[in-house]
Amino acid sequence: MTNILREESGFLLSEGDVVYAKQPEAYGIWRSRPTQVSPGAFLVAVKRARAPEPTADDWVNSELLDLVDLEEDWDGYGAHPPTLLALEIVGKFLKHWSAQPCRPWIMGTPEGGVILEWETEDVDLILEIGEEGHNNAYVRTQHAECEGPVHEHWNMICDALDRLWFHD
Amino acid sequence: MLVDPGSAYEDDLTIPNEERLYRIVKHNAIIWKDDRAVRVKSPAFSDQSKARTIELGYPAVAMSVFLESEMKKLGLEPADLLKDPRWSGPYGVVHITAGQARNEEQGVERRPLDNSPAHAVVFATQGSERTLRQRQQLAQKSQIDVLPPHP
Repeated sequence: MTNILREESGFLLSEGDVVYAKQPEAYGIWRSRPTQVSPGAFLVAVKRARAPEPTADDWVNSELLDLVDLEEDWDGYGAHPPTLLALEIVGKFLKHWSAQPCRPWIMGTPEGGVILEWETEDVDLILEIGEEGHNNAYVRTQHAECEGPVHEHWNMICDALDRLWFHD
Repeated sequence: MLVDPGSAYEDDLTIPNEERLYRIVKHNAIIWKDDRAVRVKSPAFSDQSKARTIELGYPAVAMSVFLESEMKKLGLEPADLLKDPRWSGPYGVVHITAGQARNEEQGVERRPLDNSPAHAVVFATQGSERTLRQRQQLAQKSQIDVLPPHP
């Protein structure tokens, strides 16, 4: 198929994509092997045959964007959006964790912090990154349970993270 | 200056343990697996922000809920809570019972509002706020009554 326009050149068409072209007006399924659109082509719309597999970085970016998008009173009870400091700490942690299948549930806190929460048969772990960077945690394993500042329960938190790291 | 909730509020024993306490939550408070709601995240059971607490003139942080018995007197269902313009966004309704709250060292005090006679607060009877574990326990025990729209 020729004469397709795209705002960005280099757009890649894959086999199976449904393409609508303006000039000449045409609609159909792209039958060729993956082909890069050349500058000056006229493409109006493309419906992907198959969405690209999301990467671990996509997940991190998506979660961080969800947090960044939170506005004042985002929960209806006066919650503040996460502070830049909390976001920075969470972002660094998630980049190290992103390749693991056992991903945390993530949510802001009323005071502008962020909570990371895991729950499995063997381990419950909640990490609270405070709005000023202070950190608290709650850990439950089969043998013990604790809650408090991260530095006071470091060994148990590391043990929990190890179990989650290798969790299927 | 806010004080500890246990010294500011009083657990109202006229509210029976079986009483459902409805809480309005936003869609990002739900754990979704594909299109299925798994459960509520623990931060959904946090106390409201300190700034909002002071703004409302409350003596200590607490968590807003709505009493089932009072709602029934008014002929209200959980979904009716979302008709208030304040909750016109992507919100849903979940509930715990007063007994489940008390099992986690929480109290329940009636705090009717002009536009909401069923309003009450759940507060931590010990310490300055609800702990991470207590929030988790309430979240695990909670049930979803009105599902918010999937984000």
